[in-house]
Amino acid sequence: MPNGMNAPETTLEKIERMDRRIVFLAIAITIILPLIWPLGLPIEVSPQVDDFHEAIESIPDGSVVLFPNDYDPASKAELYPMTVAILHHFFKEDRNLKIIGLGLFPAGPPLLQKAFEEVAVEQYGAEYGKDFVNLGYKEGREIVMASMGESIPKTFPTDFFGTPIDSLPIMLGIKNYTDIAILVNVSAGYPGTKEWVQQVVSVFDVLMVSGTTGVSAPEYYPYYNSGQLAGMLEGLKGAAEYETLIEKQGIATSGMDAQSLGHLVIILFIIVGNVLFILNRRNKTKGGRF
Amino acid sequence: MWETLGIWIQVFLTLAIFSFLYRDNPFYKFAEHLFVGVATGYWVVLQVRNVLIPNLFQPLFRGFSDPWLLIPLFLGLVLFMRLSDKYSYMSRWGMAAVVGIFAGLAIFGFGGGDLIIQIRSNIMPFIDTEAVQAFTQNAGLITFLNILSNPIFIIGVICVLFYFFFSKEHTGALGVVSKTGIYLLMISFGASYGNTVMARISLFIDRAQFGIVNWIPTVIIGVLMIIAFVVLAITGKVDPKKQF
Amino acid sequence: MARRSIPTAIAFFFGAMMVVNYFVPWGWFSDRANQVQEWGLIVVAFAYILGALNVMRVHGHKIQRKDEDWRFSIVTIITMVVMLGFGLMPEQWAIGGMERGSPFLWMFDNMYVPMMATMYSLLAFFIASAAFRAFKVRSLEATLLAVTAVIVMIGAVPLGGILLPGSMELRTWIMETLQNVGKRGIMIGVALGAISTSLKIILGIERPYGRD
Repeated sequence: MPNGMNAPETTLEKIERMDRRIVFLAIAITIILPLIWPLGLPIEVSPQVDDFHEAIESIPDGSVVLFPNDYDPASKAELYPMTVAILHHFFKEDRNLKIIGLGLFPAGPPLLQKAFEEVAVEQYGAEYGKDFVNLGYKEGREIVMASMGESIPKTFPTDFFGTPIDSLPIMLGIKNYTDIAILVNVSAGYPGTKEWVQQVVSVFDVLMVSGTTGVSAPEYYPYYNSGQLAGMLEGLKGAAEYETLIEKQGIATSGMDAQSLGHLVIILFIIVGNVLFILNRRNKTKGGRF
Repeated sequence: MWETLGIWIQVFLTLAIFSFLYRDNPFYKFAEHLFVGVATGYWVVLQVRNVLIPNLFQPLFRGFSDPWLLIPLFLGLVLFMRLSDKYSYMSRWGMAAVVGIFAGLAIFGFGGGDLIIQIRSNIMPFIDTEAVQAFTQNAGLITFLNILSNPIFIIGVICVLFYFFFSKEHTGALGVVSKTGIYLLMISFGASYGNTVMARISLFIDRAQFGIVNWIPTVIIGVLMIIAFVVLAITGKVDPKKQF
Repeated sequence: MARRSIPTAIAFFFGAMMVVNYFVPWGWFSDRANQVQEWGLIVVAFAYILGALNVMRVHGHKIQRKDEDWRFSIVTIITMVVMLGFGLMPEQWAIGGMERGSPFLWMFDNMYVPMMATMYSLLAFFIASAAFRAFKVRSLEATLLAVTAVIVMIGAVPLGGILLPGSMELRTWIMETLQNVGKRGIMIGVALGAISTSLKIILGIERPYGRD
């Protein structure tokens, strides 16, 4: 019989195979504690966030901004703080920007409307139909994007509330992408940034910036590198950096301490898991016990 | 009142779903089935109100302003033939229309947006003189790495593309090139994994913030759920040793 | 023969229209092509209704046969009907419409949103468990993956910048250059594959919409 076969489980093996609910509890405590007792760690702004900010600063006052918010509650944690911060940037300096919001995820427009009401209306006195509009949701993904290139009013004949959009002052004179100064996309995945770049930026040459989830962000770096995206926000971290840049600290900033400790704990799990794996493998080949 | 009730319902449903981490249980199953019903109802209402009514029914049935809309109406209705055994073949007509449209858009979407622009972006000078100047003015690790960026892009993308070339065995020089490609791909996947961890933790931070802000209902409902679990375990309805 | 030809002809007609529209983007043809794009939106909307009918059928059968957890299927059907009822009622009715304060939006805000957000937040726990139990560096490739992941995680957070100065800049360089190389290669490969698959669909060589 080979050494170690049918030997009783060692302590290290027991730790390596411990109930995963202990791991769950550890991560829960690590994240909850700094939310109750914040550490106040400083936030440094990345170059792509700076570029995002600069792109919006570069458009003339009074410009029309297309603001697709392509996400649903599954990505709300990372992207809703971005939406809120971007709205603060649009409205805080009285630049008279006209914001056309929409969503290509069914559950997106109500979240966008909530952000409009909490930020644009309550904090800056913006008026629906005059300073901003929520065109609502339309199924069709790339078809919707391509169709808007022909005519935005034909693609969205009514807004989120069912009001005909030709009755809204903000939509007067808006036909298609040629009337848009910048496309600011907040995107969870598909349909989202990639499709907007493929269907709109590469065809109509529109200035575009994008805020995305941490999961999607790595695949959009080639677009940022090639100039198809003028700037990027990456997950909750990107939202926190943007809040720092516009001096409007909010939910994203308050979550960064927990994010820091969470990452540290995951790294510790990877290291400890591998140390245990190496030690247990060595024990098995040498027939030792620990 | 409705707002307060809403908060309590949100807390109950949040904790019901989190209870799955302990073990599968009736609270989780209830929340899961409730979610399917609410989500399905929500998505259908949105399609009817945001697409079918303004883009189809209103132009068609109020004044018959666009008779061509009978075509998408027909293609949409034949989709329901899927539920019939005898006429289910007709449902393919509607699907073929949608698949054809997406395929047509994809050719230039991927071609113009991904293929040509990404190849063009990879054609760049081997040495970036601006990066060299920056390094001479401010020597450091990052300014040095920036000098390597262009050659890494030029050679690296070729190596990655060669990894996916399966018409010849990966031996000799091709083997070295494709091995370099797989190492670069692993670095790429590592970056994706790191970002995925960041994203997942952010999702829980949001829920934890919600629980902390509404701590009174969270504590009350949490305690009641724990009592319910104990009762279920004692009465034998849930096996304490079984997780999922 | 006709059963196979009709969907192939439909896919060819609509797909070819989209392609030709890039070369003839004006006048009568362009108007027709844009009209066809809107038709696509309408057909997709019908597909959602078909999906809902299917959900009802599946759960209805579960209740009828009294399968495992059939009582929960009643919850699914009742909530679906209630949500549809509130959502499709005219705005003029007190409990109809989708505005703030409507029962439909109340159910969305207090049921759909928290449940969806919570379901996805479970992933934080599973990724932690996977990091401890499954992430084993058994080869050079796995080591490269692990080291990159660790640098990206450290550089992404403020604490990382304090524990390891310069980690944020290193992370930025990795994201903009090193990991970008792999992504760019994958994008080019995927684009070539997508174009070839789309052409095969339009020409009827591949029929993902089903065949006899």
